[in-house]
Amino acid sequence: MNEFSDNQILNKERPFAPQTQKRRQTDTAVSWVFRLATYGILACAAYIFGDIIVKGAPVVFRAEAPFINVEFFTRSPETLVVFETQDGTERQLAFSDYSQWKKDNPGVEIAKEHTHSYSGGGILGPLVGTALLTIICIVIALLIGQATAIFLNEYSSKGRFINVIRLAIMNLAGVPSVVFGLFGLGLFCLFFPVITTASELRVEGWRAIQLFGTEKYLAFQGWGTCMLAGGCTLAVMVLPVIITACEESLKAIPMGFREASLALGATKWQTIRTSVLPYAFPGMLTASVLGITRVAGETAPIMFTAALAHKDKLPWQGLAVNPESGFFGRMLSQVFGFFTESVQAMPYHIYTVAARIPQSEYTRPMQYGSVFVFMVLVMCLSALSVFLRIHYRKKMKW
Amino acid sequence: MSSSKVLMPTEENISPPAPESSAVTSSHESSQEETEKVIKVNDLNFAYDGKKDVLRDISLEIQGGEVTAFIGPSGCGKSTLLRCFNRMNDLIPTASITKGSIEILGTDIYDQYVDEIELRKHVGMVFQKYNPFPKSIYENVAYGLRIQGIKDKATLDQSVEESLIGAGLWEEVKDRLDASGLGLSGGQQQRLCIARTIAVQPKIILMDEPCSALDPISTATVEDLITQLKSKFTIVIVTHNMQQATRVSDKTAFFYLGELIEYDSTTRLFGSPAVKQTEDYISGRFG
Amino acid sequence: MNETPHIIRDFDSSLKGMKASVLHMAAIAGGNLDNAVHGLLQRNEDLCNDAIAEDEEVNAYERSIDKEGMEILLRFNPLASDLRAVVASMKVSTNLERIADQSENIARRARKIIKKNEVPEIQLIKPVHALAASLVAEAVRAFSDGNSQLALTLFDKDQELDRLHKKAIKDLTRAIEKDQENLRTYLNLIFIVRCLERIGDHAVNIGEDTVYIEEAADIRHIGPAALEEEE
Repeated sequence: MNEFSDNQILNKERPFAPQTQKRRQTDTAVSWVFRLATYGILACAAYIFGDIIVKGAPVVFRAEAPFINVEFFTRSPETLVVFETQDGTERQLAFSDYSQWKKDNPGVEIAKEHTHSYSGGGILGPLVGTALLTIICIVIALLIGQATAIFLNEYSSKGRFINVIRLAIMNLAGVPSVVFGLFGLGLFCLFFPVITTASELRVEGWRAIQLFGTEKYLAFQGWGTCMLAGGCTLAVMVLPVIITACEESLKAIPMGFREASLALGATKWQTIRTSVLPYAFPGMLTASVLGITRVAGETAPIMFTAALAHKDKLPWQGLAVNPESGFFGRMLSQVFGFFTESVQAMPYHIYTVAARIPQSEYTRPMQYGSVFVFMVLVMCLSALSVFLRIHYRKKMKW
Repeated sequence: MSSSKVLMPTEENISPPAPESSAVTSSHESSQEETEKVIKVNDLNFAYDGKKDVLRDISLEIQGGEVTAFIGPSGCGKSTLLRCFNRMNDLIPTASITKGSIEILGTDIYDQYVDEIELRKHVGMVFQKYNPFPKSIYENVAYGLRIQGIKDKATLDQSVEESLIGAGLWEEVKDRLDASGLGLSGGQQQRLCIARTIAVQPKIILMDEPCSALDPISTATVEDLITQLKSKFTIVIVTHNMQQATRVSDKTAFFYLGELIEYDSTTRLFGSPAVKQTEDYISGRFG
Repeated sequence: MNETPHIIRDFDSSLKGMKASVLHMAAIAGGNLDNAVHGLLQRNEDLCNDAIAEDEEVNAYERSIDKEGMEILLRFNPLASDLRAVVASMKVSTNLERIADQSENIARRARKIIKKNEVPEIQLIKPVHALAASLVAEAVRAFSDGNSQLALTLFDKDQELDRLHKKAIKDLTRAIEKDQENLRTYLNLIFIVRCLERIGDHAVNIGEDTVYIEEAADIRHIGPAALEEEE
């Protein structure tokens, strides 16, 4: 008696017993293929996060109070000086500390001295720069993105023109980030108009227009490398994401709200203002934040437009003020001056310390520390947007 | 306002104050008869795309203070016609009437001097899916007045209370006016939507399948409300539920493939329809 | 009647079933009438007994038709001609039950007459019965075929029946005056003529119900003129 015929007899008696083993085996095999693919991704993620956390966390955290490496967050990057005193102890100091130390200890002989650029100090400059860039980007992108989304979703009628616009928005999402960087450089840094005096005029012909009755010029000479240009570039880059997200949020608002409002005698704008936007706004915001966390990590767009690898001053330090102009003039030039300051930025800083300086064991803490802090920051933003979305989903049910 | 007189005839407009002459009297009477037809559709064609008419040669007159039901299979144009009455079809840019006219309270509503925003204050609408705003009950009812710029708290309070009483909802919600409108049951939400509509004090209320999303008990409460409301408002209701049409309406219009097939008193239309198409539809014979 | 089938086929078969029950009931009621009168004319007590016994079956039919009607109203919410058909069928069955009751009455009195001496005036019953029976048959045919034209002719026939009835009563009254001996038989015969006249009225009622189903017009107590007026 072979097993097969045995099965046959059994299966006649049991109507729902498996007819053959083969289908079952295929089923199991396929489920394992899918399972392994998922586990593979998990493993990659675990390796990346594990490596960064293991090597980055010691830079940021300390064993004793206040448990955090305060210096890492309160100083900007400097050159790291590694030297040996004559008694053979090796010391690492940021360049400014090293100068101070030499002044304080004039008698000490220094044996070996070598420097590692950008590896000393902290990451305050890049952190501040990234925060400012992100804020500028959010404000600009939300203003333009929401306006566009409202127009597309609420006002525009279906037609070829709107399809072209949508196609353009979609294509914008597919443009490589470095192209955005170059575009930002050309448009914001080198072309956008500023009001300037004759002495600072760098362009001529139609691009320099003398303002009537004054010594000032409206010059199409660009804002230079500055955070406003960087923020705008990032905003342009994130616009497709924001427009799509805002449109989705608007679409999620039931048509009934609009109809009910219109049927009660509201105008279109009243309807949008009172019964669409208030309910769409949380969704717009959370989705936008998610999109912005993605571009906050981009290097290429800010590389040409806003970021410097090295900058001693924070953007609000040492703004030039013309003492002759009035209060508002001074305010205006201060604000404009602030926004046209160049900044350091986390992604660019990481790129610099990781790829543009000679590697050694002394550069590791800065590399991993920066990456760790940046990663945690971005993850927090993502987590925030996810949390907000869940929160509002629960609250807004209709 | 002449229209309110029509709904509640007073001594004054029955006997004209003008000096007596038989000609004057008769013309007055005829004009009164004219305005009693609160909605008058004259040989109307309507197209969504400007080409293919989805309503054809519709002529009907809707009496003030009555409930008129529109019935017919899906896509027969009954909702489209309803949405013509408060120009909700204007939301679709290509849609327009291609022939004929609609007069409401004696005015051609597609006339160039008619502002659809003003029209909609007089012609309210209640929708198929109850759709209170995610605001408090109070704010839902006050919405229509607020967008008209009324800010006086006392006026709003009074209007909210009157509207909720009118919608038969006051007793159920008076202790929780600040609670969200979405926390109410389906039938209560729909009645809240009706309260919101009557707060603006329209002359006509259009209802687009107001009970199709409700359970039978809630449906009954809304139907009861409809029969209560007809003393103050002219109501036009689109419904798929023929029993509902027989219960709440005084007149019924049957539409099929964009045409008005039959328009008669509800008891006649459902008891002994004159047209075979009507008979086939209401007795469940459509193939 | 509307020949287009319903979307719900069960609705059609229920309506057909109800109509079939009414027609069955009509056949039995008509048979009862014939049995009762033939029993009298042929002095056959068995036929009379049949008519009395069969009345129970007619009663059972009336109950079951009402039940069918209620069920259709409940399940299918009929409107327009369907609603009229159900309501009118229930009324037709009531009229048929009355016809059967009157037949039973005739049969009971016939049994009493058979037991007494035969009188020649029994032959007065014959034309009255013939007319009443044809009224019933035509009413049922009108209902069955949905023929309102035929139903409308019943009014004239009923007036003819009334005339015959009055004449028969007159003749019988005269006979009583002459022949006191057979007083009971004559009285029973008067009652039988009255019963036949009542049966004619019920047949007219059935005709009216038929007109109501077909023309949606209520012509009761007004007559066919009302129908013409409406049109």
